[in-house]
Amino acid sequence: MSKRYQIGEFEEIVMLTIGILNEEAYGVAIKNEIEERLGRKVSMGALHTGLYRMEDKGFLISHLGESTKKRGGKPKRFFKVTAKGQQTLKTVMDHRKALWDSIPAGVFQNIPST
Amino acid sequence: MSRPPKWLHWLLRQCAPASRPDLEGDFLEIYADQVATDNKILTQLKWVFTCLTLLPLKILIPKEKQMKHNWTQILALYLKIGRRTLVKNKLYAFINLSGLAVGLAACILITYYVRDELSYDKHFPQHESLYRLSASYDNGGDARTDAAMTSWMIKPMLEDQFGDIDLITRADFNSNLVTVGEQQYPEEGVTYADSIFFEVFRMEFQKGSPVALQDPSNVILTEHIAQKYFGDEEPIGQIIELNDKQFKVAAVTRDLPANTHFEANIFLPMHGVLEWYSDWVTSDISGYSVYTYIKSARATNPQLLTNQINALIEENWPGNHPPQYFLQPVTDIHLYSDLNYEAGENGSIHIIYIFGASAFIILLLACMNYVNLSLAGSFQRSKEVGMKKVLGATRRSQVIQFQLESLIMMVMGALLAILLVALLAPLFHQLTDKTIRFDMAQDYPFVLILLGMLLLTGLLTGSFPAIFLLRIPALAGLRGRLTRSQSSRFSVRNIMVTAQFFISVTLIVSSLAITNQLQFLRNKDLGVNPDNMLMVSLQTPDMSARYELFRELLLRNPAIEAVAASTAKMTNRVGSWRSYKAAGSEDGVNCPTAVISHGFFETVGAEILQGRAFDKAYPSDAMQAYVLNESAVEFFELTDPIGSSLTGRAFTGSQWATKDAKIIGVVKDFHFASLHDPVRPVVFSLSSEQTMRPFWAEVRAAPGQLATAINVLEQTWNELSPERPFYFELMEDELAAHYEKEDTFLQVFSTFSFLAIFIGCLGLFGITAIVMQWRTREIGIRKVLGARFHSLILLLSREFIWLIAIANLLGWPLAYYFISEWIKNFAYQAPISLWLFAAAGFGLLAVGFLTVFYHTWKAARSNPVESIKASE
Repeated sequence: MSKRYQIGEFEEIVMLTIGILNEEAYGVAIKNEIEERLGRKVSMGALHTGLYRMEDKGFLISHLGESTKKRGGKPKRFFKVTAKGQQTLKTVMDHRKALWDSIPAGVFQNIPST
Repeated sequence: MSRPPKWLHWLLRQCAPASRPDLEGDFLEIYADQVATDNKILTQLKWVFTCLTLLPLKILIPKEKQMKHNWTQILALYLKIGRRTLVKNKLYAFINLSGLAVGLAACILITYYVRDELSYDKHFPQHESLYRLSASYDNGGDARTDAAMTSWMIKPMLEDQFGDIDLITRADFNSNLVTVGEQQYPEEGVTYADSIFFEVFRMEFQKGSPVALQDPSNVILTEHIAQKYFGDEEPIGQIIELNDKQFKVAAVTRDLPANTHFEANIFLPMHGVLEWYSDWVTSDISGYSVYTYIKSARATNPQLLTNQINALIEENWPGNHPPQYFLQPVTDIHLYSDLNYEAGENGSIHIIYIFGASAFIILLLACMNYVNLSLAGSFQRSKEVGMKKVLGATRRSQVIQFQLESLIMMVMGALLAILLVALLAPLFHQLTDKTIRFDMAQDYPFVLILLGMLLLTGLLTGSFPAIFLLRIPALAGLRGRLTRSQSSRFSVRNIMVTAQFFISVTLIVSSLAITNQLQFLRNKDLGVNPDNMLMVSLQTPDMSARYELFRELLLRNPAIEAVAASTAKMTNRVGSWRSYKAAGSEDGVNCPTAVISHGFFETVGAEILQGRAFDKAYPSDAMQAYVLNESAVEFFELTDPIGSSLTGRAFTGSQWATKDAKIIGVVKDFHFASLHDPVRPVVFSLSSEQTMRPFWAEVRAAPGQLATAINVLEQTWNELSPERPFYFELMEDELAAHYEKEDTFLQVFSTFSFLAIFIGCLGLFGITAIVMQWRTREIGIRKVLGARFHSLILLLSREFIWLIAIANLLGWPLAYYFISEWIKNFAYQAPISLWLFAAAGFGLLAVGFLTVFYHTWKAARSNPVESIKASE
């Protein structure tokens, strides 16, 4: 597996959440969505650093939206997962799946088999 | 929705990268949600930490390519805009530049002056451990005399006690006549010194060594003296003659720099010239005759050394009331010491403070002008700033632009200033007697300071208009809707104009008061008449003995009205403190004494109030008579002075003897010395062959015959004493010399005041021009509606007149304070009259009004149709 498809767990979650939110994926929405769905705290610093990194790597693309009064006149930045990002997510998922499938039946006794 | 407090918002802006405005938006959004539900303070605290977590992002993001400005291009653009602005507003550019140049030039000159003053005696190696021993002498009575001179006997006494831990040297700086072959040179700075002198004051030797001073028949010259006497010949081994004694030149030193508190050109060994001193100098410890310098290895604790010296003196003092000795660091003498018998003209630390403050004030005024003019003119540039904002210029880059512009102005101003300094250098030299050496390359600390000053002032003054302009919303700026009310009615401008005039008023009133006081001193009735008075030094004992002959020869000529003589130069402070015992009192008290010839009071024009003056008809006057001045009568507390007895001491040719005498007359107080001091009590005693011979002749020329009188004097002198050059002084010049310091001070001070006022007026001129430009339309409309010319003038100048009035009210008390402090230096003070303040206020008002009037007149005269159209 080539290095450029390596992503961290947090990055994977953020990308997937962006996918869920579709057209409405901007900072606060992503944060709220992750916190709601996964029940974990997301720090603003970490989230934005992550977003910026992934954009830099080419997994994400962003554009600024319209300014709104509500946010002190500041625009929202909307994110989309690029083709490369999608490919990476798929690869990660495939790899996981292959690994899961290769576990002999009955080894993971504490979880019910599917 | 609720917004975070300002400080939090600010913190957020600092932590979040400016290129990601969405981040800030996200924050504001979340903050609003959280504050609605959570505790406010807790939330805010949490947010402080959250902001800090953004910092890594700030460091990450600027690496991105899109953030990189092309600074070379931007700077080129700024320069282009800056040049265009300057060219467009030639008048303001000119006003700004001339103000800056004048201010900076004044600053540079003053810095030179201050630096020179501060550098006194620092050129001596190990100057930190050099001290002068001075003392406060008890004269009986209340007043003590603080003198820089000490007894000749202090050095051996200290050396006996302390061994050779400290290097102690005596020095005496004289003027004397030097004979080299056929030539005669009157010289200043003829120094009698111990051989250890050069250990204390290390000087560079061009030829020979300091050891030369150990031989009593040697002399050491400085370079320029050697050059003067012998030209290119070898000076070593040459013979020079002083007071008919021969000395051999044994060494040549480098010249002492001018920033030394004494002047020394010729060094003679103290033990070689001892015979020139009176006997009492080496035998009577209570006198003071030489300077004593100490180079102390224990300099870290001068107080301890002082205490030891005083303890020693107290132990060995022959009489009561030993003097209190104190050590003065040699490097402090020039600025801090103001004792009797200083070795040279000293400066004053107060002058340094005043000069420093003036430099600062003048530069401040120039900077205020710059800020004022750029603020007032900034409405012209609101469009430019607006446009750049719209095109995405950052705040920082715009501030940099304005700072760059003011920096360019500063640099241009500095170049002009350097030119000005070069032009003004001779004038500066004339005013302060200091030479400016232009070696900027060697003087790199100074250049660095100048550059630093430029950078600082440039950045500061540049940020004012920038901050002001950036506050204007971009759209308002673009539309040119920058009305006066939007520019907050320029309260900053009003404050600064007022401040400028406030400073000007203070300076003008102070200058006027100084002038007034000096005028007062010059016109003060001295009790004597100094007109047409000549003072002739009799120079040699031989001439002293022939004074009567000299007098008779002179009086044969009608150009000479009267001749008298005294042992001391009358325009100097009366010294010669001697102990007197008045009838009925037990203790002797010390009182200054003047020894004079017959006819002295008559010659100088002093008035005898009671009794009589010394008279040739009474031969007993020589040993049994005193004349007192009024102050002395008061000092001895005599009610009926005439005929009462007064016991003093008199020098009878070779020794001091008790003189029992009666007071034969009282003379009205008169004053030759500086009016800094009140008239002192003086006891006059008669000079005669048995007592002291006169050394100075006072000659009154007939009115209008001064030139003839000088000729007669010179001829007579040359007949009697051809071996000595004739030398005289005009009493009026000598009296004026008492106030030389004040004159210089006044000249410099009024120059500063003039500069300050000039810069202030430049500023006012520029400001009015701009304000009138704004109000062109208003003036046009008013004219159309029928306003009269004079009412327009009144309307338009009212604001400025108010400012000047306020400045006056503020400046008067401050000026009054300064003057009353300064005038305390004088025993005789001119009253501080109201007209000084009125004149300054009215003058400034007039200047201000004229400035405003010029522009108002121009605006009010213009065709209203044109002006209404122009501002559309």
